[in-house]
Amino acid sequence: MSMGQILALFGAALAVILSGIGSSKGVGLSGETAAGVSTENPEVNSKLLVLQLLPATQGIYGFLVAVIVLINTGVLGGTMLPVSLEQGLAIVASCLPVGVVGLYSAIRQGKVAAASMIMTGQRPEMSGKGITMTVMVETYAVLALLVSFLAVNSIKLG
Amino acid sequence: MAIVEMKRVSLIAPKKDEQALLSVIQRMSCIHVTPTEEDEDTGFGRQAAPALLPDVDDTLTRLRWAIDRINKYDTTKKPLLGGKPVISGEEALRLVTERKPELMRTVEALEALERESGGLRSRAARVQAVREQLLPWEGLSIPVEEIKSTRTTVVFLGTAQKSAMEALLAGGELPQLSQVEVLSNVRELCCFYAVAHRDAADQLLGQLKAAGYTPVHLSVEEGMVADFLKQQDQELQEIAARQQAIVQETAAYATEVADMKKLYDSLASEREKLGVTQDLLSSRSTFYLKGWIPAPMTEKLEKQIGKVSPSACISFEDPQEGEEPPTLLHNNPVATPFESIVSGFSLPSYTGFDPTFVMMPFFANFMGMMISDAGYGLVMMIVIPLLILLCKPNPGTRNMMWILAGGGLFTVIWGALYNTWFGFSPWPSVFDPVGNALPVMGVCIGMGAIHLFAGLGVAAYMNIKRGKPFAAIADQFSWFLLVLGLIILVLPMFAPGISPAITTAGQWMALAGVAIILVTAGREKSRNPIKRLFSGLGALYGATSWISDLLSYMRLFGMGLATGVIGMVFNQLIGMLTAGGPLMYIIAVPLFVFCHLFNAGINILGAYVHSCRLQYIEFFGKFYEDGGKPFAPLSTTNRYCFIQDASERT
Repeated sequence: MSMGQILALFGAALAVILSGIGSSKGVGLSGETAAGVSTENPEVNSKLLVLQLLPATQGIYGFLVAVIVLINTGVLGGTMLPVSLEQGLAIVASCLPVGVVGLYSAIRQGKVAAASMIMTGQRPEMSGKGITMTVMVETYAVLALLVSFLAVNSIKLG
Repeated sequence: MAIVEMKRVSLIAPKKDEQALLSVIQRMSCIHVTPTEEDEDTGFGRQAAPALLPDVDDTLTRLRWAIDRINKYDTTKKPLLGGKPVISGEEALRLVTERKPELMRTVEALEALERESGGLRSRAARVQAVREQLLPWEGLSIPVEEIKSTRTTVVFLGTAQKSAMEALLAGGELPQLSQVEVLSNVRELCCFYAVAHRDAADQLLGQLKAAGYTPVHLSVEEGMVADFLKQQDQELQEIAARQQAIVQETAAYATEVADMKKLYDSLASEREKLGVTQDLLSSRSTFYLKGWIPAPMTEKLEKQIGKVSPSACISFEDPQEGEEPPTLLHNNPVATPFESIVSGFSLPSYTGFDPTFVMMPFFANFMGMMISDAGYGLVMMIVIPLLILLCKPNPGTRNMMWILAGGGLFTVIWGALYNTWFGFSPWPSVFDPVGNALPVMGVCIGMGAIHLFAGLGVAAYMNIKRGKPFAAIADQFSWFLLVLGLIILVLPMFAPGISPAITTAGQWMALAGVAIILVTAGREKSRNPIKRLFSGLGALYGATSWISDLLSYMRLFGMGLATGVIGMVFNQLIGMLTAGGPLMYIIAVPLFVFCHLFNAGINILGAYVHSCRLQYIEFFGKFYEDGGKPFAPLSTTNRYCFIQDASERT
């Protein structure tokens, strides 16, 4: 296995690991709040689940980019294509946006989600606003996904 | 199509008709009652708060508690999407007058059971505590009353350090005339019973003290500890059995929960009426009600009032200057579901603009672009209306479902353009976000530009309607020129074949826009032309917000791409499974359904909230005047059911 191939896998790993850590943390901390709010006000539970799900998307974005790398490098096809050192480094660089932004934004989003849950628990009619506030954070994860995706796709192997 | 025109309604009627009139008004749900100001000259005075009110509130609270208590034992089948039953006004009245005493007795019985259960719980806790304290002494072989020092012996009962005691017993240094019996070990403590002759007592006590001896006083007066514990066990069992019986007795009342729910809503509706009476003024024989009524309802109300109380006097006036009528949105049936999105943000002020209709196509379109899988769209378009037909959900749920169905329609269109059907791409696509992203990004920004320009259009329309056409040119048309000009200027980046004449035109449009903004933006701040120019420059800085607004529409691309690619990845992974032979289809097919349900779910949720965001921040930001207070008419409470007469059903 060449250095380039290892770097390509390293890039895919970074995308999944970093964004996965972020989403785990975000979903986890909002889940704790959801459990707490539910004991006080069980009726809003379904609204809380929506909020808890929002920080989960970063992990999915990271997974997405990683799978694209695996597809493009032929890992999912069975035999890995040759990857030069430069291409491998390029793949690592392309995976960084979704990984790093995913890590940070999922945690921040989880905190907003948790705060929105407390708001929803006390004033259930405000849940729509809470979801909107939480989604604001998501924007940057989507932008990072876009950049990572376009960059990964621009690296032509063969 | 817009915000419903409101009229000030004033009603003076004989006091004897008060209840009947309020019932009519409540059933029609058309008057937002406002407090009337007291006026010395008219002879009207504020009504005293109804004495019944605290009573009714108390009954409601108890009823609510009882319903919550037995609801979980209710085994009757509930409709899937929670359609509420409908009862007639007569039935509501019958419930309050006839069934109420009986149902309230049930509530009392439930409360008694709850009290008993609470008492049992604390008794069980007490017994448990005693039991736990005595358990280490279960092995005591003599009755408790015999544990006492005699003329020649001294008794020690207590705990000490386990390790020290073990050492003491093993060491053989105990005085001869003494006996130590270890009964049990509780973690690091050793519970023991010791007897010594008076001569050896001091020596033994010293040794025990060195081991950490603490005397224990048993909470049993007499008899064997083991027997006492047995009694306690029996008591605990009895308590548990009684608790079980209480649960069963409580559950037996579940058959009445349906009636209790109806009674709750009927009573709560009565309470609404009582609450309103505090806003009324009354003289000796008449009462005076003031409120807001939607203009289209005036005739109908006048007719109904005339029927109930012919001598009532009712008048309608236009809102006065400085009054802020409540906001009620009314749209055609297609746009109505989308009202919930507007009110989810904040209601427009009465003098503002109801953006529901303008927003609707954008909202559904953006949802479609973000879900972007024609397969999911087809399912949404077909399944959701079927569900609405079959399950008859509550209005709120129904509105949400129609919004999703509308999004489904656009999802099919965009899914077909992107060529994504359940993650598969069966034929060559019009837009290929994966292979050739730039045109798709262009389309997304273009959609955003149209959306934002529509927002500007609304703002301009409001300015013109208020007789300020100049403001429309200065604040909206200028930006339209500038932004459109700039977009035309950058077009060659996306489509190289554009003739220079068009870009030149774009250049001039942008310049014209800049010129208008520079000259007019400061028009209300100062008369000094230099200062105005500076204000204009400041306003031009707003161009940056336009850029960020436009770029925000890139989410249309990002979210759409995510759906398609996740679907594709799922299909590839499942494809590997099916390559393993026909047997693998048994796993692959359910997996396929599950994966795509997951993908659809997470993306529909995402598309919905992101579409909301694009309306709230980008679109509404251009024109929205919020701060309306909602139209909250005197109406029936429908927490559990709807109170409606057959003639009112539509």
